[in-house]
Amino acid sequence: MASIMENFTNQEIDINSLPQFETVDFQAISKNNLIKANLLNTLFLCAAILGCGILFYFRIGQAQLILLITAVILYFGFQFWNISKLQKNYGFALREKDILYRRGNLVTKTTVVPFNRIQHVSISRDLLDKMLKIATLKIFTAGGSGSDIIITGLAPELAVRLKEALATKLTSDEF
Amino acid sequence: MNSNLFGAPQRQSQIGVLLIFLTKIFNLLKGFWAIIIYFLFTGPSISTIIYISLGLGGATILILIYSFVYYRRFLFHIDYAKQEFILEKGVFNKENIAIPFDRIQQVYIKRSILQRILDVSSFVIETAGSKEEEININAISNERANQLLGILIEVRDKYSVNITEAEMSKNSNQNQDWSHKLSFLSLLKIGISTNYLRGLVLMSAFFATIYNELRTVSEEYSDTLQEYLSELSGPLESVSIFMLIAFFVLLLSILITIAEVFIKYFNLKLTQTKDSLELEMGLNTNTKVSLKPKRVQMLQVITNPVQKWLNLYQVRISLANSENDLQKSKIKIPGLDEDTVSKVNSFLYSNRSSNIERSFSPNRVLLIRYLLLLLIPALVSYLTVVFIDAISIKIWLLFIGLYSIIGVIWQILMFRSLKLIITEEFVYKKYGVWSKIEERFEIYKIQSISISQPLWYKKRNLANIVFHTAGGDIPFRAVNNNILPYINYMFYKVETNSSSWM
Repeated sequence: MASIMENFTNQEIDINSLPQFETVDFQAISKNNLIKANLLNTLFLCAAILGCGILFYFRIGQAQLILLITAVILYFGFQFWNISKLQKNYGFALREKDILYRRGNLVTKTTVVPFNRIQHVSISRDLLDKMLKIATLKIFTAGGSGSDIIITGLAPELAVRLKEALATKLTSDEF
Repeated sequence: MNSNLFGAPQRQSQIGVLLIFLTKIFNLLKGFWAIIIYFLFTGPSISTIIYISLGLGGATILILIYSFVYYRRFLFHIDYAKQEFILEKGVFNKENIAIPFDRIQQVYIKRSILQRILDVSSFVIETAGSKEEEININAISNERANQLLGILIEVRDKYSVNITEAEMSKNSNQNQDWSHKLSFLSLLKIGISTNYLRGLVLMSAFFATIYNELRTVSEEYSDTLQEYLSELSGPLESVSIFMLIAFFVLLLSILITIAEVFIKYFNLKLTQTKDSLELEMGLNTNTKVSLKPKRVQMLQVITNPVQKWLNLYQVRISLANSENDLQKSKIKIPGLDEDTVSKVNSFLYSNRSSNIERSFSPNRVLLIRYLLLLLIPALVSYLTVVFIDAISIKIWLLFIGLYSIIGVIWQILMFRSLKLIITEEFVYKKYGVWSKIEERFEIYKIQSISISQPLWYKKRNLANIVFHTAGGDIPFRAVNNNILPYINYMFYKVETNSSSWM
């Protein structure tokens, strides 16, 4: 009991003096992520136009076609606007003991993962990522998919550096 | 402990071949039942029957060989030197699974009816981590299963010592060991007071389909039915017939629930030993689980007014899992009295006094959201009424009126019941209109927290918070920003805590 008591203190904590996650400065992600998102969206747009064309070929009614085209324009208009807005809001930040990730346009979401709760970290790159020279950093916890952080559109060197930094944190925190 | 028991690689009980064989056959039949029934009904020619039976015979022999090889190559043992449980299996590809003692999370025995007949048990080892690393030994003799259970629990406890566990066992030493058994009467009470609504819905769905079937099949008999109905002297009698049917449906649904409760929770026994809670229950599959406080991620206590009156509480315990599949790792213990619930509570979480206690309620915006969500089904049903005209608009208005009154009252009560309480060590969430649910978890068991803010919350200074734990997500919506210091406090707690969360 005595050995436990020696390094055990229990001072009262002033909750308001603790570091605040909401005042952290976020670091933006690579601009190439914007290109990737726009490219994908354009691809979908092409598919949608193709679909409209096929429907037109089968002679659907005039009214329905107009409705369809308005829907497509509205949807893709929103998407392009959303993508440009999203790009501004993507951001991550490292603190001494946790990592923060912010995303979302209409709904801004920030997830904070303490280093001592990270299970493992991985980097993935798909074809477009390779062409645009970006990478995705995935940080997994035991809290299910909602609790994982997936940072898209990082410069590959930065992703590797982050991964290594996190890995050293993981091993040093363990003991 | 007999130090070398299970030290050498060994097979399952010999009767296991039969179990493997029967299970495979059963699975095969399950896969092909539609085809089999089709053949039976089409009345095949003799030659096809011969071919099919030849094929079936061949398949049976193949399965028998497969079962035998599977049995022969299914080997398990304990490597005491490396501190691992090792399983080798596989007919075509050999799989070698090694589970270090300290990774073992749950060890338990269960038995299905078939296993009871063959007098063998399933032995299950669950680990934290990827889901493939769960071990199932399906045909081990009862005696050896119990031996193995004892050994594995012992080695697991021995090799996963750390500060929290030492602390826990110290605390639990002060508690008196106790045991709680579910009596026949409480089982009956649980059966009557749970799920009758669900049973009712199920039964009415069942009757609705039967009614539909009958209507389509007996289109030609409809005239006679009409005659029969018109023979009834007046509306009073048809009403009484409907009442009778409804009564029987209700009775049947209650009986089904009672049967279900009996099968699931027969002989439920909860025992507290020095450092774990032992749970045993089940008629069909006898489940034995050993719960350790450290591995518990979240605790739910559920009751409804009727059950509260009967002094019945249900406890649900979420254990750590890596998948998102919550149901699987949630252990339900029904029919505990208030006293036992507090005992379970104080065992799992040794009661600590708290300097901080702060309660949060959601903003009124959430109620508006709830009410808007209520509108969607109404709108959809309106559109179907207008475009398909299955029922007349008057009946629809009646239904929608009833629906909105109940819905609005329900949502207001739901909104009012939502509470988040943060203390020095714990987070509590309370909610529920009919069933009152209280969720509780330790702050240091949090894996991460997500804070989201829709555009329209910004002006009102609101945020949605989701606490991610290994036992599932706990969301709390539309709470004022003055919760943020407490969120920061939680990060402080998690980041300064060195004890492991499982």
